[in-house]
Amino acid sequence: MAAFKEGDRAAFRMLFDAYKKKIVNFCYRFCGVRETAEDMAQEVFLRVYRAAATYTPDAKFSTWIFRIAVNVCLNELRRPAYRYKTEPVDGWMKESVSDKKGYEPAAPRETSPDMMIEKHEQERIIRESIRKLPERQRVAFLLVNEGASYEEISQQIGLSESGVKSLIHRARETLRETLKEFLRE
Amino acid sequence: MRRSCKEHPYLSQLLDGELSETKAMEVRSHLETCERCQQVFAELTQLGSLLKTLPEIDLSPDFDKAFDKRLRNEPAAPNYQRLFGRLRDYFFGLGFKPRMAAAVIVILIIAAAVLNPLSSEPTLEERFMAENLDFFDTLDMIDQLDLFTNWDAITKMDENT
Ligand SMILES: [Zn+2]
Repeated sequence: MAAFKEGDRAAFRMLFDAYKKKIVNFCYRFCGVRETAEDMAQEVFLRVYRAAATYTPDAKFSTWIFRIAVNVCLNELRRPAYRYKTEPVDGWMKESVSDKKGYEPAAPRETSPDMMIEKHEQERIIRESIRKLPERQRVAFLLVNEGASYEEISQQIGLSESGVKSLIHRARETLRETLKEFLRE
Repeated sequence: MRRSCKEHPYLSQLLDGELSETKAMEVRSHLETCERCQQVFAELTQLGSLLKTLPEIDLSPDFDKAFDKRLRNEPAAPNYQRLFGRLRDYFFGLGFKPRMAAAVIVILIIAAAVLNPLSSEPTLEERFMAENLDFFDTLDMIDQLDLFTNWDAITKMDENT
């Protein structure tokens, strides 16, 4: 029976390892603060740990864990401490390039510093445009970009499918407008 | 924002594959003739690609350690067995494929031996395991993971060995 327990722990560990980066990045795209995103992701996994007993395999596991992530994200917004706090995107860029050698994909040789700056600036604008979306549009849009179906998103955010359709449509309309400089090629 | 034609609201759903067969065909044939919708649809497609170019951030080096610390502060789960039993049932699925069972047992034994979620310092073995767990990288793979089949049969085999 002891082996049983160990197997359970290993299953939880596999789950943690398999999803942690996805969940941190989901939270990061939602809130824009790296530290907060990691904190939120840990909260997601603690909730998974606490709630595993109530998990029923009628939903895909990814649907379930992202549903928890959505709850954590939306709750986070209710906490005034983080409401207006965002960090400059190039802040973590520099940091992650310098202190984790070989971890970030190296820039192609022919990329000039100017092109890098331009690319970072583009990323900053994209991330910021997403963050400026109203919270439910933002969540629905991020989920659809994770490959979730409207039906799954509807379960994850507790809204009808037609509501989800409209959230995603509106999010894309806004982004098409705010990001139009990047959409003409 | 300029007001566009009546099919416009369906373009987003078309992109996501969320339209019925009939409606999708209708919108597609509309797309062939309507330049405005073509433009919008191209932009929506580009928007999707733009999002894909957004790099993922790496986790801080102490992410796992910080999580383990928080996990240690969790009160012991009252029904520990049941708690992970469900998770395990999900993970290891239903249905039985004998050919896979041996592989699963090997993985479980190694995992149980080297992965201790409560230890704060990752051992060399843990690192090795973590690095080699790459095949769990995508969500889809996990959702379709039928490698781990019929837990009960597998654990019985495990007990017998
Ligand atoms: Zn049209």
